Amino acid sequence: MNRREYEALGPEDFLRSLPPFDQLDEATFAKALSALEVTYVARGTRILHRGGEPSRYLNVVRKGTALLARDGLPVLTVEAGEWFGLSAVQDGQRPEFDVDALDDLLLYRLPGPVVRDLATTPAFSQEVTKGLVSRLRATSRPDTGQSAVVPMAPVTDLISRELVTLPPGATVAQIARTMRVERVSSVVLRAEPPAIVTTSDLRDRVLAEDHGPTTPGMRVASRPIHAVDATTSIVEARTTMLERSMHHLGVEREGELIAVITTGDLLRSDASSPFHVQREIATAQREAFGRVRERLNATVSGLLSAGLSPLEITRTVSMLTDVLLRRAVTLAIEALGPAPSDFAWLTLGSDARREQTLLTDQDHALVHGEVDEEGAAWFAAFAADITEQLAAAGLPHCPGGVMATNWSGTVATWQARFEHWFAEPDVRALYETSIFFDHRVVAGTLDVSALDETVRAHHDDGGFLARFASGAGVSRPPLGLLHRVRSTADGDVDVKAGGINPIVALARVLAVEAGTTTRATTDRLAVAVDRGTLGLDGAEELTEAFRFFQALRLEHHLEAWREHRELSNLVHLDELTPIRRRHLKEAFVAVARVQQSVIHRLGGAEVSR
Amino acid sequence: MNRLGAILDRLLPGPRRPPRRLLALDLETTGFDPELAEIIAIGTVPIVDDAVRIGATTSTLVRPANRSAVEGIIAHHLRPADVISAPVLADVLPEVLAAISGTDALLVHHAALDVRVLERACAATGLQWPSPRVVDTIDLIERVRRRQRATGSGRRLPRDLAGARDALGLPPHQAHDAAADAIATAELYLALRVHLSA
Repeated sequence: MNRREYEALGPEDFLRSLPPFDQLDEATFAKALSALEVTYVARGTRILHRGGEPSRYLNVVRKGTALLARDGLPVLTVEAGEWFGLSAVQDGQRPEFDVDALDDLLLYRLPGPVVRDLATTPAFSQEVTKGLVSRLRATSRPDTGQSAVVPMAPVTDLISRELVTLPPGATVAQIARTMRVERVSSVVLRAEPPAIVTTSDLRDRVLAEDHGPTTPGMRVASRPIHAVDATTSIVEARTTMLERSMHHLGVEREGELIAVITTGDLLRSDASSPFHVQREIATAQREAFGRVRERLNATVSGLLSAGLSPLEITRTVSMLTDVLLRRAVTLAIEALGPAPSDFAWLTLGSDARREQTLLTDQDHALVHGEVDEEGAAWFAAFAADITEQLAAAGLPHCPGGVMATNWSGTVATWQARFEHWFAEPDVRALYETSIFFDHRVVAGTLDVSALDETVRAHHDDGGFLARFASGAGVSRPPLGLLHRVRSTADGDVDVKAGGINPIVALARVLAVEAGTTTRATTDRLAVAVDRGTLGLDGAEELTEAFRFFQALRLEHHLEAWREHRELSNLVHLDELTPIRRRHLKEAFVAVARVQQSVIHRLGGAEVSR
Repeated sequence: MNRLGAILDRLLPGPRRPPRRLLALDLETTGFDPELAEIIAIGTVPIVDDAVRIGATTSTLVRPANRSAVEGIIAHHLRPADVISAPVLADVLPEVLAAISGTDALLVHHAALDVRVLERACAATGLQWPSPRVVDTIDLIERVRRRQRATGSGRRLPRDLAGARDALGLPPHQAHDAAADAIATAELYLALRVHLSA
């Protein structure tokens, strides 16, 4: 049941509250309203027959539940705020489903000609002409508030001055003097293609290398200059710079370099920018770790209201978590002295896939070289110290104990563990261990690619894949009879357990089958499409469902954080608008369908709950 | 409905065939005494072939003859100034009566009040009351209640508009707005019909 259903809304207000009716201009909405009719249908009535008369109306359910079925098999329930008959009205086709009234239905209906007119409006065309994928896509972007104005603005808004250039023959001394006079941190040399010299080049490539003031600028310059087009948004530019750890970024118009922007320009444009937080974390002392979580959440909150997509945001969260982890490693080595061997600090699970939201446990492991007893003690102390530092920064210990304090060893030890898991007969246990298959090196220099090779060797191991696929069915969408969303007694639905986990697990199975080391869930799905192991439709539905669930979680976590409530993955169904509830249900249904077909294809079996 | 059918409907006893066209009507009045209450708002919405035509909803404010009666309107979410600047009954009524004449039946919740007030309004303005066939949702509720008594089923269906709607699972409506009440009455009528034919 939806809260909105219980508000005193007349037909006009109710319809106006539903997307995409809420986006229609006054005149178009008034025209639709003038044709609106209300009907009441007795329980058990068949409203549309599959293959029968085309639907003459778009029916919006105001109260009650309708059931769409095919060959006697239930496909989908349609509840308050949802509708049926839209596409049938639009193209006059015979209904693709039988539609029955499960309860008495109060229906608001719009006649065909009116709906065909509506279908030409931008607000409606998406609903009419496209499937679930584009509808989810349209809603998974968070609402852009006013703060979107700045970050969505083009990067050219950051340009505060003309490009400072010198001829290609300029010496480093001339360059340094120009920097001082113009008060800039970089100078562009008018070579073909242009080259850039920054203050850090003067330090690292001139002074530190004992070169003199007459050194030709071109010898220490970088080129080509990495640049983005003038139409690029500030958000994209920021992402580019973050990912490449660049402090200067060129801006081009029609292929011509027109300016260079700096991280400083970005910082001035947005006080809660990830750059601030990144720099803060990268230089933090232990005492300051307590503030990290709060700063991180504030940044994510800013990014969300700035209109970044959920997957861009989770990538940023993981990136900042990496910075924190590296800082913790640095501080631990400062305290304990140098490591007795090379090592690799692995982050696991969602963080490894860069799909981290705010609700973050520590999930990590440690790989080190052959060491004696004393060396092993060093790594134990190292893991313990980092774990405590992360806890101080607000990342709670992993309740399942998946942390480097429990999980460390040499590459050979780890390979043996992996092999042991591949032979695991219990699919549930196998599913539990799969967190280790999603690992990413965040700190350290030890080469652990042998672990991926171990996994890759099993890409055509049919017995393993069948069990692995069965394990991916341990988490499944909370759908009950007739594809209704099943909630707890309190009306809650776990978006992670029922939505995210099944998609992630499926993508992981498909990735192992494809022999790819790609970690990101959406990338894994794309690879599976390439290999022909997953249909394009299924992949698109899973991808958009994934975005949708992640957006829902992010918004939910941020709201809880702002209200000082405990973060959880439970979403209260009553708090969703009818359209979002419909999308939630459709996304669950899509996930369940693809899940079954993949498990079936790989010879997996259904796991009992 | 053909002429013979209409005549038979009037002659034959028992529940009559449901009319094809109805006009659901709700009055907001200054009180509940049918001999004193004055009309301050009229809302109507037609039902044709069991579909409520929302687009044909009408809503009119009326200036009461008795200025002191305006005090009574506080309960109706209207400001006295709204009704004082509204047209007088004589200007509004002809159109409403024409709509009533052009339909098969007038649908009202608690007709005893509204129909009597309309008759008085006609007398006061020298207009002819068309004496339409009247369907009262209260009568339908009574039929449901009789059936509930007969079958000994639990809670009785409430008689008031909001209570009856709620008991039948209809969504809440904006009460004391003439047009919203007319639509609410029309929806209740459709629900009751389904209920009684089950």
